[in-house]
Amino acid sequence: MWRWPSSRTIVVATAAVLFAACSLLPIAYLLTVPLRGWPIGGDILSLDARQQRLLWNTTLLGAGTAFLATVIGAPLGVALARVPLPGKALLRVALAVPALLPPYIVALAWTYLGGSRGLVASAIGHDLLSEWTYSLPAAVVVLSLVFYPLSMLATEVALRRIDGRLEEAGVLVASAAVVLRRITIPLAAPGILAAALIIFVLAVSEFGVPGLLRVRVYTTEVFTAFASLYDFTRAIVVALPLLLVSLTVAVVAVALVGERLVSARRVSGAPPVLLDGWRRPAGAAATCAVAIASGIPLMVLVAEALGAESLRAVFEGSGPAIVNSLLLATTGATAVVIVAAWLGYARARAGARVGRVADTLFIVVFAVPSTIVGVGLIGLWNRPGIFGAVYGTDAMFVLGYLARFIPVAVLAIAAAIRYVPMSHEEAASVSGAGWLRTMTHIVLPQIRLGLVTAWVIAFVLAFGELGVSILIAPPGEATLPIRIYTIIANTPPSHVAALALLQATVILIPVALLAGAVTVREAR
Amino acid sequence: MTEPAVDIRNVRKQFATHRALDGVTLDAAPRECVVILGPSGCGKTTLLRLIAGLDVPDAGEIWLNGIQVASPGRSLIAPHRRGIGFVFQDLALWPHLTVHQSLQFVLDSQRVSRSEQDRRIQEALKLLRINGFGGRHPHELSGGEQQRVALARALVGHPRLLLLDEPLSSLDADLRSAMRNELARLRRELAMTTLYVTHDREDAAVLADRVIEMSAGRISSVNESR
Repeated sequence: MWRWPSSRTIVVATAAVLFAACSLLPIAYLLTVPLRGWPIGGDILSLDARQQRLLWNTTLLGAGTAFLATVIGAPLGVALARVPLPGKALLRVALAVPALLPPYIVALAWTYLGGSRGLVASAIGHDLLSEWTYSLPAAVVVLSLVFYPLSMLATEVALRRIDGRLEEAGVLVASAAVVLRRITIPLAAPGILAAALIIFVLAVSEFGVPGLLRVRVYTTEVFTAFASLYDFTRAIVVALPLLLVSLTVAVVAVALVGERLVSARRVSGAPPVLLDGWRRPAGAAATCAVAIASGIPLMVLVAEALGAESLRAVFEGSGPAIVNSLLLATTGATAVVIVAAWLGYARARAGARVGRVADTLFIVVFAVPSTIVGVGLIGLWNRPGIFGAVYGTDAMFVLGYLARFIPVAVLAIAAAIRYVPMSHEEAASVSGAGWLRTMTHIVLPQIRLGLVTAWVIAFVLAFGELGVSILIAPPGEATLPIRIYTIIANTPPSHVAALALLQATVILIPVALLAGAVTVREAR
Repeated sequence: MTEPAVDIRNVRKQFATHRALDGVTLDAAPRECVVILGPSGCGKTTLLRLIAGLDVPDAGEIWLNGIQVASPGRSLIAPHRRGIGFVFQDLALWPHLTVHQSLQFVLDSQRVSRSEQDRRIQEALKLLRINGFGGRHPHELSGGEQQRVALARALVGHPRLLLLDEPLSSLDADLRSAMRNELARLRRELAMTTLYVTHDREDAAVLADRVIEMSAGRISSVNESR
């Protein structure tokens, strides 16, 4: 029951206003630019040859990545859900690692492997792969290796939601393979398809990988227009078609997933083990995926970093960026979780219709490409007065993290809160506790792990954030991703690899701790 | 004439197209135990939730001890200010708190002093015969013990009205019978106004001063039991 002026209304409304100010205003600013009489209306609609090429490349990058990531990820998801693999919890974490690494780090590793002076060229004595390494197909492969865990996890979740009795009824009359093909997969299809669409949006939104692999797509063009040509109008012209595509696809994806995005529905009983005989091939495929997607890039970075003459030389000049990144990611993740906790509560307790609208909004906001968010933030904050005072400071980084990562944290927290029965709150309420006390003593303590998970996700994303940061960074200020991205061209690869390895390590440590905590909790 | 402890006047409640309560009027005298009988979906639980303030009526009025607590579309007094103890059908025991902490949470919320808290918690644990269970979490308790904890939590705040929503429905036959007798004992000892929702006629036979039968959101009959 929502009454004004209850503490619940005030707290949730405050969080909603913060979300609107940080995440929605930059997008609204860009979308309303044509309405404010800027001379760009015709340019948006007319696609010249250059724009057509950008559109073609961007579409190929998105569609190719969505297809390949699904081809890799969906079977792995089926294996995790239906094949009795040993050490499944650990395997799941290992398979998910590539999605946690900043994509440009994986791309960097592949350039050190396949570039003209890469490990392959050194080993065989001539340049075999460099032309391919810096190409659109290579960007598709790298992004597929980064994003396949999303398809894998979505498929596993979709299969786990299927009532086991539906499959049991099938295995009484058909083989396991037929049941999988005719019953299980069709039931899981909306979830798998929605994941593919989300991957499409993330791929077309990605800036670091196409930038590194010299593939011209909309995101790199927005960056070039703003950062190299200082042409803000052109940046907006290029940004708008990409923004519209991202928003449209995200809306379709949410429509496919529906309420399942934050659903806490538990299927009764264990699902039937359909693919008992597929242990070995499934285990081998999973091991290959871990080796190719995480093992090889990390090993390449280690091999390259070992060539550095000293650690001091590596970190000379990069120290402030490392400290900055740690502080800003910690501050940003904390701020994100503080706002998201209340919005996550509101989402979890909302009715189906309001919930669906909220989910669409959150996914759409998350789908907005980072460089577009960056341009929006600059348009909003780079002006005289108080806004300008903030614009020149590190607070812009935190605003950028809030703008991009509140939606993910909200959905993670909402999913956790759904597991707290409403009756627990009601029992506290009739016991004499007000809403804030109920939240702090009853609800939030029960979702501690969910809050920590949301914080780790926000920290990982913030620590690897590049697209917004590189545009809004105040003069002389840099984060580790900006530092790595900008020194690639004029610094020994060993130094860059060592910094990338440091970044990967900082990201994987909290993730490993969290995975350990989850494993211990599940074992209890 | 004594004011009724619970006075419900022509209350209606609708969820989407489903009319859960359709003009329900009933009262309960102080210290009376009213058992509300009826099949699933007849509106029994909705009625308790409206009295507790967890939902608001679409029409009608709800009065507790002479004070109006709800009017059409409005809750006039928040649930925690209505002086109610509620035992939920799923018990709703907080999994992260021990028995002692759960009871303490209730008393903290009512700003009861620490020394008084200890006394009241011991009193409630003793009353429900779970003295040795204060340090345990819900998952460390049997079904019957969880039931007693839920009752202790509802009673520790010294409510004026006790609402029980099918509290025995999840228990097996033997435990159910034992807990029913336990509730009868508590009723004798506490003499508290109680509304007890169930679909089990045996509960009604053992506990009720008055039995109200509900069907499709309406009261279909009222029987004096004792």
